[in-house]
Amino acid sequence: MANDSVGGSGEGGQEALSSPAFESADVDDIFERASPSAGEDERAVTGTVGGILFLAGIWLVLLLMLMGTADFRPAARVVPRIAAIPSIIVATVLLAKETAALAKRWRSRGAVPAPASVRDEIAAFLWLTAYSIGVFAVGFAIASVGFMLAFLRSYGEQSWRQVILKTVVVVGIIVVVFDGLLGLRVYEGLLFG
Amino acid sequence: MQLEAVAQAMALLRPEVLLVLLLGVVVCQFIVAIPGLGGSFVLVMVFPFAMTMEPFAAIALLIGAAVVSGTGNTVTSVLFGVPGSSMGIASIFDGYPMARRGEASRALSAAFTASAVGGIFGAAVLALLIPVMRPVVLLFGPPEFFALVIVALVFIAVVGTTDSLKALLASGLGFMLAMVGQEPTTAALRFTYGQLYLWDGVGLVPFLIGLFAVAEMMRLFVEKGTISKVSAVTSKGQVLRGFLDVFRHWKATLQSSIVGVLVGIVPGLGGEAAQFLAYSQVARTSPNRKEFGKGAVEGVIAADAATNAKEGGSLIPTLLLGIPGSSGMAILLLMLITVGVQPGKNLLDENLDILWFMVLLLVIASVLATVFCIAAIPFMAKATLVPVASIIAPVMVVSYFGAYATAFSLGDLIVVFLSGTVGFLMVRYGYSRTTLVIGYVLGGLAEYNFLMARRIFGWSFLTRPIVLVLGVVLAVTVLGPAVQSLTRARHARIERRIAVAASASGQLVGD
Repeated sequence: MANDSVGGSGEGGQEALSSPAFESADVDDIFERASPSAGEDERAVTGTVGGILFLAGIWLVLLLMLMGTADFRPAARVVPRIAAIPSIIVATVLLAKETAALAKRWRSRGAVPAPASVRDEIAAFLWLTAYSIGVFAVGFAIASVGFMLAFLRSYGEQSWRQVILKTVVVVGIIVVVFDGLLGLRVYEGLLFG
Repeated sequence: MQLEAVAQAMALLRPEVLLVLLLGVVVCQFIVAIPGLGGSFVLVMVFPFAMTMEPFAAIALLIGAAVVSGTGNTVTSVLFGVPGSSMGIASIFDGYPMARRGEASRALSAAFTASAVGGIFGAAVLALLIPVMRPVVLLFGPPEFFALVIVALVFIAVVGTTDSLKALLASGLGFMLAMVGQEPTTAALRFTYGQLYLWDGVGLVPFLIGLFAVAEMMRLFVEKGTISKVSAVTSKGQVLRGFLDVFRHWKATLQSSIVGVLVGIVPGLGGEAAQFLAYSQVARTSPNRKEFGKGAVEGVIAADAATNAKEGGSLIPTLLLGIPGSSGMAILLLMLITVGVQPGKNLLDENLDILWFMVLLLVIASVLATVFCIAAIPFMAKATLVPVASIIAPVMVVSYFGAYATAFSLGDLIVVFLSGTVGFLMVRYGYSRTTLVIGYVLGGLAEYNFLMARRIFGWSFLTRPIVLVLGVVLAVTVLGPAVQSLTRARHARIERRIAVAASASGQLVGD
């Protein structure tokens, strides 16, 4: 069952192992190229600005939570502190390692160009944000129809016929299953609810 | 007592429960066949539906989803050489070469049959251990459980990951998230920031849906295109041959199943570890060892038998101790608790029939999954050619609907959005979401047991024998890799000095 044990499905292993050249390798070669960590999604120090900002965010959240424990009763604050203090220490060590790695990269190669996928990552985040705001504002049904039409048409580059068909089927099934069969009220949004 | 529980468990296998199990197996099998949508994803997606069912049907749905989550990876691994997740990697070694020489159906049939045999073997071991484990579990009080949870958390982070520091940080963050809401013994509010929604903590379902489903969709968005770039040809004539291969190579099947169960029992060693260990074991002992990596059916059997046998092994610490070893198990555990199944002592004492019910479901689901998979090979192969856009949009919509439907709270929608974003960034920057979830699952358990232990024994709970033993295990787990790397660095230094000295003396001789 548990697909991604500790690592999860990662990209590195898939790329390395989907190569046709793979078939001719003998057993030892196979193991050299595909260690058990090949499919994991953790990488060691990345040394990127984004990685450092993300880590700094985690560090800040943990620090604020630790500071927040000052107002708790003794019984309520002991375990959060036991968890927060070592986590902040680990985050600090990681921050130092990431910063050192970034500095080393800058020294050796000058400014590090952002990878080409960053634009796509921002686009993915914007789609998610737009859909979330849409659900809040106008409710599930309207936001989902709008999202599916816009997404399938612009990102999927599908014909209007396909787009409308898929939208009607998906949103229709969901509304019928949740609202009709399961009797669960579908959220109507802040504007119409 | 055990026989009575088995009889009660069999009575629980009502037609509607079996129908739900079948539905879970069929639907989830198609989803898992799509690379990138792994087992945790499937478990998270079925959860909102399980919440609306009566508890036994919900357990059947969850076990059905859980069983197929390892099997589905095999389809694309064999047909296209693309693993659905890290658990499908070893299936490529021999499955893909077999497919390329026109034996795809044989490889898939052997893989699915081996999966079923492995799954049944794992369930049998779990069943055998139920009476044995009862006295062991009863030895564990709050101090021992607290120590066990801490050891499990650190062990998972240190042993099972590439970057232990990042894994430790993720589990620490998950642990802190579990602290949000009411403190378990006094109900004091913590980290709620005036929000009523946070009184019960961070919503479980939206948190998991965001972390796995939404984050995976964002990842697919960036990857673009279709899941697989080539279409596969399958033939029906070799299915029986593949089925019989599993029994013809019974030694490989048994060996891999044993390895799978043993790996499953150890928290943190996931399905890929089971696969690789079983594969290497069979590859080294088989008379056909030269064929491994070139299309030996034993290689496919080894990988898939171990993957599914591991599930039975993983259920042992999950159900009997309440300690999950992987994200899938953590999700399953949380879901079982939500539908009213309390693991550990309670399950062994008062709900033994439910434990046996799950063992029976595991066996039935393994058989159903195999029959269905073999019948559906051509359809599943086509599913991988669907453009990702057609997957992303419906999954996003279903995810938001599912998250909201569990509690009808707007707070859940915010949690989906935030955990989806964080989950995507974790994948992007190499943090394990699994250790985050396990920290989240075990955080509450650790705190409750810590506070109870302090209340009953004071700080002297740290000197109880099992706690001391677990403390030594913890110290070895943490210090072992550090000592090893120091020793390795020392050896490297010495070797460098020897090399420098050798080259210097060579120069002198030359002069």
